Amino acid sequence: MKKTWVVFKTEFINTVTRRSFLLTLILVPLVPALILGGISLFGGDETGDGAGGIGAIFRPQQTTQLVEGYVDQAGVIKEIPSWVEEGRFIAFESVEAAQDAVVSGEITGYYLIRPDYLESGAIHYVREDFNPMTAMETTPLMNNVISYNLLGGDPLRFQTYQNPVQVLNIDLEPEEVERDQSNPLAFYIPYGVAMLFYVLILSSASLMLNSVAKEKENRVMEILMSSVKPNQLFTGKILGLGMVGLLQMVVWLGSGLIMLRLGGTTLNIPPNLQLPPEIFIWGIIFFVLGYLLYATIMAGIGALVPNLNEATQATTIVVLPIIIPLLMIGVIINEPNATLPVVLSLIPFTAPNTIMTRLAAGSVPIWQLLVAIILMILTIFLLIRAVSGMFRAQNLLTGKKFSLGLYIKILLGQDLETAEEG
Amino acid sequence: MTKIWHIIKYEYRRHVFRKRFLFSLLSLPMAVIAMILVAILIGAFSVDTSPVGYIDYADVIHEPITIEEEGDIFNPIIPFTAYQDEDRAKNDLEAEEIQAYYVIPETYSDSLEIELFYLEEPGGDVQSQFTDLVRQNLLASEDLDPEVIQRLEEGSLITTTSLDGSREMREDQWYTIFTPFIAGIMFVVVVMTSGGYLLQAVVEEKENRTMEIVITSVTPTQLMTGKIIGNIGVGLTQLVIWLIFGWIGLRVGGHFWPFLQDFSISTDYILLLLAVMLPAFVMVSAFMAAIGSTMTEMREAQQVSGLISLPMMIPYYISSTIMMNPNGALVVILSYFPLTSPITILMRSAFTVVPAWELAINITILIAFAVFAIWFAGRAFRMGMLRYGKKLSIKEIFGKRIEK
Repeated sequence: MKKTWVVFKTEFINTVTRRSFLLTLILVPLVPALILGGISLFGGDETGDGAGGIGAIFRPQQTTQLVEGYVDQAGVIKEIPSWVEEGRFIAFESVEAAQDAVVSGEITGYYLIRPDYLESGAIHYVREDFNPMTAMETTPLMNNVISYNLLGGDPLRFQTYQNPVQVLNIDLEPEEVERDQSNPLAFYIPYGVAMLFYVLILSSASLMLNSVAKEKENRVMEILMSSVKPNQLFTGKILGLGMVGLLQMVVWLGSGLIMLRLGGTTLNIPPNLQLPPEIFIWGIIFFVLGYLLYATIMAGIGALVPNLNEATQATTIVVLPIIIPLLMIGVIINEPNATLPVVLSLIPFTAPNTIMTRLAAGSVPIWQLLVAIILMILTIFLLIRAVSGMFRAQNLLTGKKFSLGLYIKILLGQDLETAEEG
Repeated sequence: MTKIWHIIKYEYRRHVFRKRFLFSLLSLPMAVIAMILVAILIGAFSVDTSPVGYIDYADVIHEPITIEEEGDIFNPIIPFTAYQDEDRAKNDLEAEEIQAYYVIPETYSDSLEIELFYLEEPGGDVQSQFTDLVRQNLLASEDLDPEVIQRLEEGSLITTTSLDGSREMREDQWYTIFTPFIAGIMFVVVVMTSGGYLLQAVVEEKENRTMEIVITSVTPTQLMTGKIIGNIGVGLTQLVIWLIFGWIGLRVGGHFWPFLQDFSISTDYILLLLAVMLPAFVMVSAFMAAIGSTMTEMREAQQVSGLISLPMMIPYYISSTIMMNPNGALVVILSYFPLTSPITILMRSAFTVVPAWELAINITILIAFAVFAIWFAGRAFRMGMLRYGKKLSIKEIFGKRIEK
């Protein structure tokens, strides 16, 4: 027990005091905070119409009134309707005059309505800064002016043309209140949680792999084996590095929650999109379980690979299941309670990520949480038994090349020698 | 000179003729294909094309089907069927033969209000297509010139042009704006991966002490030049192969989807791409070499290299800002800062006309920084090359004179 404690302490202190660890611990929450701050400083909407916030970066900044010209060669525009701001459009006789006005800064751009407009619909929209993305936001107004004139300048007729119907939705099977899916944050907040969890579990689990493979590579293992039992080493390592991961997760998730709370008002996050506080508790539980699951697998690989390089290659195969929820994240976020997400959250290997995403996107029935936890604990129990069998001096001191087949055979309880022969 | 050549050849071969290189070469086209497949699958599953019913008490809809376009997987045509009474429509809705039904009451012409009944809210396609249907029927009943009606139905086709007319984009070909974007992403991926190869090459040789032997017969400068050129060669190979892939893909795909043939890159943009990316390439490679020679372990080196690669990716995270506001303060600042400027410049000039003097300054800063990076790498390399166990600090690189 005492030796396990020593291993635990060494691993924890060594990892936590590493400068690169401290840097990532602080920088990861700091960078998005700075970016958010930067956005609200530079790219934010300064008109202060209340619709600002994070949505503002999707809109162009417009503090002054836009003035554009038009050259009507087709004779379509007879009048500018009264609902267009005064001075928004200026008529020009010729292309040259309009071009000059753009160069002199009088207008930012002009529309050239070609003589064959009625046949082809062709309009040239000349802009000083080109930007076709912003152009998509300014052209609808011109389109409306033209339709208004084509309809003979009758405001009522134009209005009917614009919105021919006002639809009253009648749901014959109303469900309980749903989240506002139209807000982009309804997608990005759960997405962020999923990514965070993915990074957390994977990075702390690979700490395990690295530490075993490294000690094997530089032969520290040989010395360690002379005084510590493999099982003590395994327990100490998995607990120590788990604490490191937990620390990282508490700092990251906590600062994420605080950032959302503080930024919630400036970023205009609707209250029903905020993360529920329980997510913190479930987050810790599922992190611990997910970490134990993957760290155990990683430890097994670490015990078998001869050096670090091969260790990294071997992990790519093992992490596939944890990537699956990320690939299907769209489905999970949009329909958190459909069959696929429920199935994924009951499979122990995909459960932690799926459940966290679902919790961030909506609520998860409590029985599913409990079943997922029980299934995960069972799997972890079986895995730890198998891997601690793998963690034997015989395997730890070998320089044998790693293969997935070998790994699975040993996992199922064969000896290294028999596994190699078979 | 022959020695540099040897190193170049060695570096090039050891990456290109490896299974892993083939893997990374195929991964990008595969990822693109997978993404397209997923998009098509999601499109196919999420869109409900079962018919929508309507009951027309106001006698508005005379020509039930006027849309004659071909629907495709992203813009499916939803059939509308007329019903005489609501009960039958409701029965069909419950039997899931229709996904929803509209009721146009007799008071429609006064209030414009209609009702939509459903069990599960239908997608936006249903609403917009039904609105189009009603609009077309209303227009047909007005006494207007058929030419005018047709124009109103089809709307106008706006071509956005820059002031000097050198660049233009048709409204219905908006996707072509992403061509330079994709080219830029490809270039950055290449820069990053070959930078990563270089880092690996240096650290590995240091770790397994090959460096000590190599350095007995080559000078450090030769070694570093050879390594950098060799790895840039690897990157360029990758890029050329991807471009060929892309070209073939567009050609082959163009037969099935004609819109793919609209994609093209102007010569100006290719020149800009080269002008920006060559110094960026040199800069990243040099920094990677510097990191590689100051660190003693692969793991540490990879973590530190994040300091270079993370800032480079910042413009992608805020790409929406750059798209909508390409002349905003934040974007302009990013285009001056050497690490973020390569991608920022490429994205900005895809969405707006950047003044030539500004581009000139940006590229000059980039080149100056690239030269500095080479100098820095040279120093770091000579000092850190044979040092183990202890990291080289930045202070040391700048401070101490190198002993011959």
